[in-house]
Amino acid sequence: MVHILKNLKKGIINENPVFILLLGLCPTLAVSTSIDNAFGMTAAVMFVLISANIIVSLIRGVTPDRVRIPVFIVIIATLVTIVDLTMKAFIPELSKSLGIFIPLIVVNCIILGRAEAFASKNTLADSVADALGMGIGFGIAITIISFFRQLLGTGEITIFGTHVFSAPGLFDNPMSVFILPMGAFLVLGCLLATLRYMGAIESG
Amino acid sequence: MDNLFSIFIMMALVNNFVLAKFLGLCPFFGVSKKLSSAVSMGIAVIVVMFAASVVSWLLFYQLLVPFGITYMRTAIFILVIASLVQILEITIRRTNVNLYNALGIYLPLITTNCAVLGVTFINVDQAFNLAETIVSALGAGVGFTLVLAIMSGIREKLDLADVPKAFKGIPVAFLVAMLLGIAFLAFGGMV
Amino acid sequence: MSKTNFRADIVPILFLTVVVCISVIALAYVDSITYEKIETAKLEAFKEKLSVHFSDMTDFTSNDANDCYVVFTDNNTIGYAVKTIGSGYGGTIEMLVALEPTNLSSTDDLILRGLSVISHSETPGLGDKITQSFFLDQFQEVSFSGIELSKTGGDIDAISGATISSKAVINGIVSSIEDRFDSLVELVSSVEVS
Repeated sequence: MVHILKNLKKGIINENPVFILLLGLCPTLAVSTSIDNAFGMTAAVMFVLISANIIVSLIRGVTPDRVRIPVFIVIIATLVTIVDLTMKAFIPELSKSLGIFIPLIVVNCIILGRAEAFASKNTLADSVADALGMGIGFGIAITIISFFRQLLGTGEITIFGTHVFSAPGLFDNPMSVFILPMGAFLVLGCLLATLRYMGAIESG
Repeated sequence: MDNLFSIFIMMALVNNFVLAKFLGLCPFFGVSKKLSSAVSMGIAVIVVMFAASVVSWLLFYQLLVPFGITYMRTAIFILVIASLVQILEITIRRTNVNLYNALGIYLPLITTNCAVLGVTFINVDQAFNLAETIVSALGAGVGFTLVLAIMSGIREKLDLADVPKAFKGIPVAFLVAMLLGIAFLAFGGMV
Repeated sequence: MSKTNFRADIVPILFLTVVVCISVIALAYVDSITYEKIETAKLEAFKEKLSVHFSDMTDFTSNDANDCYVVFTDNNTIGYAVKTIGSGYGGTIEMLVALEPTNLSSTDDLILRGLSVISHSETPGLGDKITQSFFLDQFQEVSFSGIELSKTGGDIDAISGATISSKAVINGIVSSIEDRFDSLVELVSSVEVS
């Protein structure tokens, strides 16, 4: 049990995929313009990550080593397409705003990386814990970035159409640069430097 | 002709893959420490993007659309890229050892480069014809290489600069990317 | 070739084949459930876009290319709509232009009833203001010849800071309607005959 908790914590803190490993940057930066997008992306990544880890862990004994990577790729591509079609059918609006980054989950280094480095060598329970941890870690990171970009870039925070609050002064004169692509680089660069300054992660 | 040229400018500069579309960020931050390796990586990406775009375009319109199985798109495209990279690696290794030494280590990285898969999706989503697909793939690759080369040139100098400790390395690279992005905004008026 | 070698070669290939087959079957199943839902969602979204301009719409018909529409209320034609494409800052902007049911002898007779944006990839915070009502409302009850920036004598004010996107919308409307005017006339006359 301790073991499982350790794997869970690892993904959220010690090996946070975005802040520490710098993996999966493309979707993190691209869709983090609103908190809705962050939640949608996290849900999609979580589903693929957990299912892929479960399947890879289950077939780890029978997979021939030579076709290991192609098999993983096919499994992940299948899962991604399932997510893509389901989102298009049931939440078309969100699927539209995430656009090309849903099918691109297939080349997200977090997923193939975890399947190859962890799930193909570990038991089912450990693999699920690992996937959950990594997924939550990814979700926390992308939500923090989205929060800053949406707040500074539009002056208000809305979650799925519900208005949470607007910042006085900012709402009338939002700093649009944060919504623009370069705002993502600025926010993530400053966040990383802050985390390092506080000693949360090591300077490289 | 006019249209092809504007697609090229659009993909290479205005909607630069790295700075505006956030595609191919892993190699952008990973391989941009030295100018020579950045250029090698860029050339490898251009070649794979070109080949992958043509093959996936043909497969999509000759196979997936006629049989009504467009939902296999993601799986087929990624397999096309993975096999192309493998074939390219073997061919280069057998024909030109020098070239292999220069490009070889970057080839496996390209399979998981979302810029390559991204350009194949964009070509199909925008309903480009074959000529437009070729131009858009070349434009995307050239734009990627250009930004990678600029970035590595800056980072070579940046190593000598006195950067606050917390910003050293990756964080300051993000800030440089931001400034590059603002500079590239100026291309917006061209199309 | 020895027997063990043969086995080592064939097992991985078989395994990969089986995995691919399972994947195709799974996807075909998911596709069969979601296909209709995706199509209905698209149709519903489109109907909603149309009914913004034609609040008493009961039905509509389209041509084969699916870019011109005639809108009815209980078999009476209440207006037309044309899908238009502009090339904006971030890619194509797909729009829907609603038209009053005027006679259709030339494009000069057309009067716009309204405009909505179907899809776009303009910059958030700047170019994507083309989807906001202060910009779109300018296209209500404007004659086709007035679709031009006010700078150059038209009726439409550009969005400050997003001139390219504003121009793209206008150029897209003008060129697409000129291109598709003949198909619209054809569709309208075929509807009137039946």
